[in-house]
Amino acid sequence: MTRAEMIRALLANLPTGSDSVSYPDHPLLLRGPDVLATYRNSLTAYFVMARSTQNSINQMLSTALLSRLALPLGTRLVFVVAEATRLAEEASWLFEETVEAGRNKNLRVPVDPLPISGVAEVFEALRNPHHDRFAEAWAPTTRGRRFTRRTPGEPTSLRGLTREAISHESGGPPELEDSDSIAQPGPQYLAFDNGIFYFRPPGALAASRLSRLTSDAAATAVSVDYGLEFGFQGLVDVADLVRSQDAHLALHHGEIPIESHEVPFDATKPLRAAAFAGFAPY
Amino acid sequence: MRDKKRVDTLRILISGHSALATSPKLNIIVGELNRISASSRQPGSNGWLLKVLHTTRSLDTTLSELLQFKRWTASRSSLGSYISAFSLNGILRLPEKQRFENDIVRKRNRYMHEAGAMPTQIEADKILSEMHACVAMILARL
Repeated sequence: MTRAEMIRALLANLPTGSDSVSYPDHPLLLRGPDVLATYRNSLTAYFVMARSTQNSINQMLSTALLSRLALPLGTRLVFVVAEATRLAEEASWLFEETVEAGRNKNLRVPVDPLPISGVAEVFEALRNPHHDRFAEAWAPTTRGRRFTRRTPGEPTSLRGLTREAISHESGGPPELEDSDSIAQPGPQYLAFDNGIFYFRPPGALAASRLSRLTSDAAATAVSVDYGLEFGFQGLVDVADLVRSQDAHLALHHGEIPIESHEVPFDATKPLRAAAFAGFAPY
Repeated sequence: MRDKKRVDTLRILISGHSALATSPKLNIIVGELNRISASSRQPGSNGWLLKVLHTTRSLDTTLSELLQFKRWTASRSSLGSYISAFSLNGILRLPEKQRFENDIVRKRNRYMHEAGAMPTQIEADKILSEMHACVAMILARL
């Protein structure tokens, strides 16, 4: 099945009495879930993936992480994959449940309240710091107002944790390593210096292309900020560092035009959603 | 079309939130949200004025119900006081509070109270966008 067919099958198999929206337009997300549904007073976000490649998995992890922080506490995340590949399985830790669609259009759709996963609890340590960074990134668009937050320690993006460091014994947050040991992540339009990303998209881009580049830049920054390369343990370590005030989420910078004639509604959304991923306007 | 997606997303976020799911006013809020989409179909400034009315009324009642759920009090029964109460309780940061006061409350007051004041389509859309962001931020932080 194609992704669109999987989404149609998902919508068709939601139970009577549920309410849903496909491709929801969330004000804080450049990319969000493919379907958002409510049933029996619970909220479930579905993320659909037709083909699992390393790039698509990385993008999905960043999308799901930002969605979890943008959606209300208690929202369940469900990963819908065409087939259960090794890559899809590696990403499944960020979701309450993973469903394999296969070729079956009678998709089993989890919609009843699912138990809160361990990953949801980790996120609660990160929710406030993430929203504080968003407030700082978004404040300059409010008639020059500023928001100052505490930024103890170094940026989490400088952790440079090795796999050995991640498997540290419990008993305190992991040590920060020398930033020189970190390779430059991301493409050319995304510079990385001292833990801060600088997003400078080429000029004269079509709105759809700019949107894609912004989304890719956000995915890279989110992955590095939250240690997603190291899976669940990477996220746990970032949460520990932030909670113990040994590190903070860095404020990144991006050149993202506010107005676009190709965006008739909510013209400030690209800037707001980029701020939610950590990018303040230059 | 995008207008409808936004309103539909807002409806799902509100009706699926644990603080509002059992509210006796949930159906009224959802009805008000549906009127936003309906008013968008009315041509010209009358439709845009109605859009501002339904947008801010749904925001007003949603915030009032959320405050009641949290047992937080507002100094008065008004949209501006509700936004201040969320700021005082640490849900909205100061620049966010100021932004929503400027871009929602003051504009709403002008269009609702000043004879002859009519919003443009862009202004009506901006109020809806800010209201959407305000509700989404509060729901994510409660």
